[in-house]
Amino acid sequence: MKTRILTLAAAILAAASVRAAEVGPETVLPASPLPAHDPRIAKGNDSFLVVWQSGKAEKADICACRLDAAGKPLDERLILVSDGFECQERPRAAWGRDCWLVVWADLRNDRDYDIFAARVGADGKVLDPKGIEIISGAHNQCRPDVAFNGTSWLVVWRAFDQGRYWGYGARVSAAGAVMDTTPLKIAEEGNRESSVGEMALASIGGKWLAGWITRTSSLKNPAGGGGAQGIRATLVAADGKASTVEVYRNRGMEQAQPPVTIVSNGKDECLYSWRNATTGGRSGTQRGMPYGALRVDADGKVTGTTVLGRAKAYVRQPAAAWDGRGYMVVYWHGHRRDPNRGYKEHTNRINAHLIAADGKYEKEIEISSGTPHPGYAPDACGAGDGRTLVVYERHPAKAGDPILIAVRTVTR
Amino acid sequence: MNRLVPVIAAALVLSLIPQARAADKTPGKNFPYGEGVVYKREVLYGSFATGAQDGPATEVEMFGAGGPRLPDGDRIIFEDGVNQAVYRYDAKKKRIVTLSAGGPYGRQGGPIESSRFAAGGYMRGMSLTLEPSGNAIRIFDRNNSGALWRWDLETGVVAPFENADQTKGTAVRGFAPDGSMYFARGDGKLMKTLPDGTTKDLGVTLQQPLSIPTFNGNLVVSEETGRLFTMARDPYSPWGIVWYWDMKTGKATGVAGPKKGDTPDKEYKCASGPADKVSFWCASGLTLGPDRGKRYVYLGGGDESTCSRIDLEKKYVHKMVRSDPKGDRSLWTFGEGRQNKDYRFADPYRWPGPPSWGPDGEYYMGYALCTKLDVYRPVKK
Repeated sequence: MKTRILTLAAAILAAASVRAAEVGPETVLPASPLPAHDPRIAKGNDSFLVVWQSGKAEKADICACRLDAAGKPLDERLILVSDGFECQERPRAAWGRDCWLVVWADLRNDRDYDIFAARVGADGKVLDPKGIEIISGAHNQCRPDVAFNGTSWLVVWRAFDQGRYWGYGARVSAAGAVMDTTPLKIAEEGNRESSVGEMALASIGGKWLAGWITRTSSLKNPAGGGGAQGIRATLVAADGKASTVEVYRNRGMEQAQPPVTIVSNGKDECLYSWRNATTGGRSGTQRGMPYGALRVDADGKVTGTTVLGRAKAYVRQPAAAWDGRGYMVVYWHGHRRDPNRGYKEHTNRINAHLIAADGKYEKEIEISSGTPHPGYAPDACGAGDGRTLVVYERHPAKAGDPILIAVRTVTR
Repeated sequence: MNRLVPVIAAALVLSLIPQARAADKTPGKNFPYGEGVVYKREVLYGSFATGAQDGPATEVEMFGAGGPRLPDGDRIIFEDGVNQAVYRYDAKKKRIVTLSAGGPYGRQGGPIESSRFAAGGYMRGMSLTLEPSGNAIRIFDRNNSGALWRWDLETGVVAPFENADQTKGTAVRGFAPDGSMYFARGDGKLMKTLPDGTTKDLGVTLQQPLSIPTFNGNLVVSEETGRLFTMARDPYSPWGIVWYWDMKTGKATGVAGPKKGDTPDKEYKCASGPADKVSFWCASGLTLGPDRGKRYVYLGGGDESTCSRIDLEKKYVHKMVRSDPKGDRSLWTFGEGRQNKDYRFADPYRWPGPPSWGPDGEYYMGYALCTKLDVYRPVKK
């Protein structure tokens, strides 16, 4: 009896030690000309910039909107970052000294993807309306990410060459000049059957940490299912020199799935997170599995690991943030099956895992219920004072209504 | 010259009528078909990698993009069961565009780029069916209680086609060329949903068991022969790997492969041979050829990374083999072959879906595990 009381008391104390998190109301951003996709958010000095892709497939442009720390839009009219020919897709943004650098994959050559960028001032003005060409040329250069190390931005992307994808990068000065006209080789896979997956990037101690998941064909995959395996990382020094660091060794059937997400605590550590999933298999659908996070220091050394609970549904597109007090990994999930074998109405919810600064797992919270507006493709960015802004695609409740971008604040 | 004007005008008008051209597409008459035909392989797109990347045809990555391809003019539309994606291959630009991917799930019509459904299933997506008019695609939404969607290719809008409950509990289903859908309820009753959405009971009960894990629940409908073909991945059924139900009596008849409980003959594993002796290695779907199942049905090779033609008259299976192995290695035919890498289209485990036939006697083979689509065009007989 005494043991039970002590256990109960310990559980109550443990629960009390987890800070409550308050989720604010949903704010919807002004509509873009076409349905809004893939939003990303980056903090500036005293405001945030949300960027997204307006349109898909036939025509897509890059739009943006500034927010204050409470998530209130500062721009009545959207900022049109790029409206080039064909599609501009998958924007990412990072604050520099006095402006943001927005990067994206660009199909304006009507042939394959190139990487373009534009600076957006603190006042919301686009400083490079024609775009900065980061890399072009034959084959795909796509899926960019960007981070600022205090001196310059590093833009990374995956590029097709000799039958597979490699990871490259180029530094961009605070004035918007491309410093590396010959791209830096950031990531490669030794196996000729393997490719570098979509990279994520964060700055740490004046360097950058780039992470990705290897994509490989089935033949060389010991797990037998093909697809993704291998959680990789490269540390890039301020001078652009890249060195591989081992952060994780895959254990067979875990099947880590891209994309990875990396966020810095602004001092000495990054949180590097991903999801695991089986890949279909004989039973017909994917199953949810626990996924993980690593803390990595400025030398690329792993300082701790966190298992992010066991989600009831399988996890999609995790995105990490640092709010000044701890980490958050936000994601969307769906596909909730009826235990009575039939299928329930599906929805997309947005949830987040909270992690303390020391890596201790705290709890899971719901950001958006998915009713009546399903949420999708979230991203998050901390304000540094315990608040985080979470942006996501807000899907319509009825056909014909547009997909919009919504934002909520989470206060720890 | 003036006399030629109406002739030229008439010729121009005729050339613009697709039905006039379609009427000439007779198997064996306007293109070689059947025994002895040699096909030349051409890679339409592929990178031999898996992933989720669109762009130039040789640089794309997908995962699970198998199953039937739906030629739509200069475009091919297909799906990816793992990435939950729908893609469009633009033959003119030789580029693949992602129309929808990665979810979100749900039940919401609208433009294809922003609609939400939960189609997809096993590794290969096999949820799309092109309407005979070529103007729309039916989407079988397996994870939404079997709801049906209609995707209008002209407007790009996806809309519910019929009540989702209609097919709830469906064991097998398949489409006829006119867009009608046949499906069997759990009790075996055969139903038919007409293109206008009305459903009727055909008064036939299919011979049980229906609970065999048929490949993604597919019926291959041959109204011309009055047969409903289907298959199981492994010898689960009392009728073999491939069998059909008679649409009038509901009786099942085995076509090829070992029956449940049989010990497969090693000599005929993944080989050509008598239909009742040949076994398959995780076969991956069944299709009809241009003769609509009168003589032949085709089976995707799955783990054996090939495909086979089943001759219903001779009760014999021919696998796809190189016709000139020491010469032009792009030439293939349905002939005699054993389980041997020389007879495969690619390395094993690439998981090709069943061949999908085009209007000129060509067929498409897509691979689930290496992002690749080949077209095999008939060159001679």
